Amino acid sequence: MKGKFAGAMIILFFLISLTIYLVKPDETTLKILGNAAQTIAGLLAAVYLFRTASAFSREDSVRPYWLWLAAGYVLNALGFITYALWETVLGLEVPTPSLADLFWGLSYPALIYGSLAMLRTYVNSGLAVRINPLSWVGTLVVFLAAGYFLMLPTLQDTEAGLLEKFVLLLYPVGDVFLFAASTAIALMMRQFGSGKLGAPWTFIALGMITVTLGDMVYTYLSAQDLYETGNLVDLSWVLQGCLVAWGGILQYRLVKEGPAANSAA
Amino acid sequence: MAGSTAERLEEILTPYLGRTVAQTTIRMQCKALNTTPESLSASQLPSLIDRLTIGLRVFVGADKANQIRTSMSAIH
Repeated sequence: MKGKFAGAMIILFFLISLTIYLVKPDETTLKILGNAAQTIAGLLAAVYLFRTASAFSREDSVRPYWLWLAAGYVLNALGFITYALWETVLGLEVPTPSLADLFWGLSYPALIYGSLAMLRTYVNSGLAVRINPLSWVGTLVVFLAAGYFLMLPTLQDTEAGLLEKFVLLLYPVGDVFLFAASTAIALMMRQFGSGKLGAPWTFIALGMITVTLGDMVYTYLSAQDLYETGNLVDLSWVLQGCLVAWGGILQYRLVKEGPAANSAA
Repeated sequence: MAGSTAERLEEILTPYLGRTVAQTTIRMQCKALNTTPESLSASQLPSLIDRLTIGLRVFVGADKANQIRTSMSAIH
């Protein structure tokens, strides 16, 4: 019942966020509400992943990996909070690099390590699941697209400083790694079919895939001077938080109650 | 009787793993024990259940995995 209520609240939260972006209020209101939605989404993901980690016992090998993922989303939310304060309270244009970039940059190692460690553990679990080669094909396509549209222009940019280039390259590189890990996990979870073990990670991985693609579109639009706060791509950060939080709820219920609980959801 | 043991394990695992992964996992772990689901003996069952529990544990945690182990152990 609690899980259903939390799920309904997450869906409601996303629909409200979607409405904000579709209605497009004045720029200041949009900045405040948009930043708030992204921050709340990141915090939702962090809270539900911490809760999932707490559901595992200290002897469970995957518990630290859930904590790494939760820490990644805390850092992600801190990035959004910093960005929001800078943009709305100080009323300044956020520079590159900024403190927000530091938090977002630090979130990548936590999320990538957590996902890859989880993937390795699942592969070695003794259950008949394997990495689908299609995930590597998808990663190669994303890597080539990111390399051509995002990394190459950054490297060729003669105006950007070394630190700015490093930060601008960090995002697509981190996103490619995160895409690789999350796509591999998402396709692995599909092998469970109607089995309930796959459902939580399907949502979490879809959230990660959403944000990596969203990040890349954002970086491309920014480089072309086509991005402004309130662009629909901002919703990818809200959607990812909602998907990851929902995946966290399902995983928690699976650990605590078994597959019957998630069937009822 | 031995074949039905594997089938009953499969019934317990299917809600978690889905039919295909449950079948393949039992077959794979039987092979590791130098047997098949059809020729699984009562003496090999505890080892098979141990292996299955270890796999489940990374997905559902030790407590839930032990509950499933109890269900599997009740088969014979």
